[in-house]
Amino acid sequence: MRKKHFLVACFIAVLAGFIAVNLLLSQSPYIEALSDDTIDVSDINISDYLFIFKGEQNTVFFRKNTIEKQVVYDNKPLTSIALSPSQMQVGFFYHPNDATTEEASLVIYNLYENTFQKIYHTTFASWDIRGALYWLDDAHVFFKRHCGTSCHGLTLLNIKSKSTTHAVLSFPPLPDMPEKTHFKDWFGNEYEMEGLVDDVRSVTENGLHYMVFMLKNYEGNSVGQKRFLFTGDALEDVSISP
Amino acid sequence: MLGKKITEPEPVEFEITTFGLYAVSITARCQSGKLLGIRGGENLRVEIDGITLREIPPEDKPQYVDIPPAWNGTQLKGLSKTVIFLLPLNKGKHILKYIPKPSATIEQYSITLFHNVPNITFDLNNQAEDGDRRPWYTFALVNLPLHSLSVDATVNWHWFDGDDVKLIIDGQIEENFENKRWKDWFWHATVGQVFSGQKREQQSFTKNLQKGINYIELWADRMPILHSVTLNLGDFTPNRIPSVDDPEWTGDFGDDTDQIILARALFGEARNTLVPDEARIAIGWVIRNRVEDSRWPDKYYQVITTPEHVSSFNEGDENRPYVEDPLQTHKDIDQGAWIHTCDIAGKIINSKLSDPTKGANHYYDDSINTPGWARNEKPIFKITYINASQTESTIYFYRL
Repeated sequence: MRKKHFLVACFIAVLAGFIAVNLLLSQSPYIEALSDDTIDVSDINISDYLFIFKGEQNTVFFRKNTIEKQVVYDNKPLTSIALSPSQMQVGFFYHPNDATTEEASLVIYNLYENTFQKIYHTTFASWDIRGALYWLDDAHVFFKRHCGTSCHGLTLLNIKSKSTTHAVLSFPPLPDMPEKTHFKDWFGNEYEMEGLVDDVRSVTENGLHYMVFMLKNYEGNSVGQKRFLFTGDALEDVSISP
Repeated sequence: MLGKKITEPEPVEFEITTFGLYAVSITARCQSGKLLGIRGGENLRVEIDGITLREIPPEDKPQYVDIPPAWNGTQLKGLSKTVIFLLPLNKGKHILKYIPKPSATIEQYSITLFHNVPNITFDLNNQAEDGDRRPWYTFALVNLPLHSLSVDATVNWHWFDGDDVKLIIDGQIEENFENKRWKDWFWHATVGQVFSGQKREQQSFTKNLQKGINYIELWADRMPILHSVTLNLGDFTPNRIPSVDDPEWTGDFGDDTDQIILARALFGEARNTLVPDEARIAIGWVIRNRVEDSRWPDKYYQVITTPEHVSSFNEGDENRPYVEDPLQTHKDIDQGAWIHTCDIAGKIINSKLSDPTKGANHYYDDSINTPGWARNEKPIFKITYINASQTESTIYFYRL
């Protein structure tokens, strides 16, 4: 008799566990995406954006616990993604045309209104988009673009007016010249940095938005960084001299 | 064909069953113009899989016949010369092409796989035909480094004259400091050998030459004996060689042929069909002009991978995956563009396309502000095209 009661209790416990797990999973924002290896960008919770990372070959992945999925929009893989400083908008690049990677679009996804707006499109992605997407404030994004030899372009895009302006980073044109980078910004100001700009990022601290240049030497070793405060219509050099 | 005079380009197809480092050895004979009564005499050069070798270091006007891995009748005066091309070869079919001008006699050819890389020994035991100073052996290292080499040779005295052997590495004569009068001939027979007999010497040389095209020449005077040549390729290990059909990089752009690394650069920088071919060719020449300029390294892959010079090769650049594997998208449009850029790259390297820029070594596209390095310079060439916004853009070319 006791044995029978024990078996019934075990059955009820297993059933309860199964129901509980299913209830929990049904509340997950990405439950529908579990059926394949991709997840639509709109199915990711704001709190889960820290689980998004850039994969190899210009891909974007979402990884949480044991789940790893490629992030897509309209069933097409994203190539870059960034959350705005206010965390109200997500910007991302993707290739809308399956036949070519030369077509690329920048879409702004408003997380609170659940709306998507295409604000930039090119059929010359191999020159127009040469790096990851970064927000400077909630109205501006920037990304690298082609320039030529020993230089990089930087495109600033106003997401409201959809207008673009270009800055240029210039490197030593001949080998063995001093490791310096010349920067002409979007507002006509020019700067010279000690070191070669390896990467350009943005960061928001205490409500202020900064553009950060990571600097290296010819051997590829870090030689520090240079910071500029972005005010919407100017960049201000706020680096502390060593 | 062996032993016969050829008067037309002769392609010879051969098949390799195992990837590895191979020696393609060719012995041929060319007569001088004086003997034949024709101006310039006979000449012969060889292409393997379309690789056209030229002089080291590169000069303004490329030389293809008067170079170490070719046969020049004026120098040989009818004597034979052996050229050993040492290069990695992928599994599959390959083409060896003899290009005579106007004629030449092919005497021997062989293909040997080496297993004991990086130390490679050629047991030759060959005595030169009797004759005055002329090229005898050339080892053409294709896309290979050279740490050191040793040469084992014998010289003897014959009545009024002795044998001599000269060693030239990438155009530099190895000097014999023990004999000022015969300093260019490292192995030199002396009159004293009438009594002491022949002299056999093995000499070693440390060179530390970088991966690329490197030539080792041995010249003979009279009839010395070459016993062996041992090459040490340092830390080189043969990797698969990326090709037009299989261009995925090995993890080291130094494994690319010049054509493939230049094609990668053109694909990364200018694969879009909006870029006119004229611009593609001009950008390719910007890179070649740097290779031929002493201010830059003299290897294509070194020029192209110089930090921040060709941005598509920068880590993190959106185009980097495209230069690592041009066919990674599996899209027809990229495959077509890749084959096209390979064709252009090959023609630039082989001078089948001339330099439209007349010597440019920099360029930029005017979609953005003028880079700092171009501000006080005048462009020497420009190309206008219609960009993605249906407006005119101009690519400016500079010689700094």
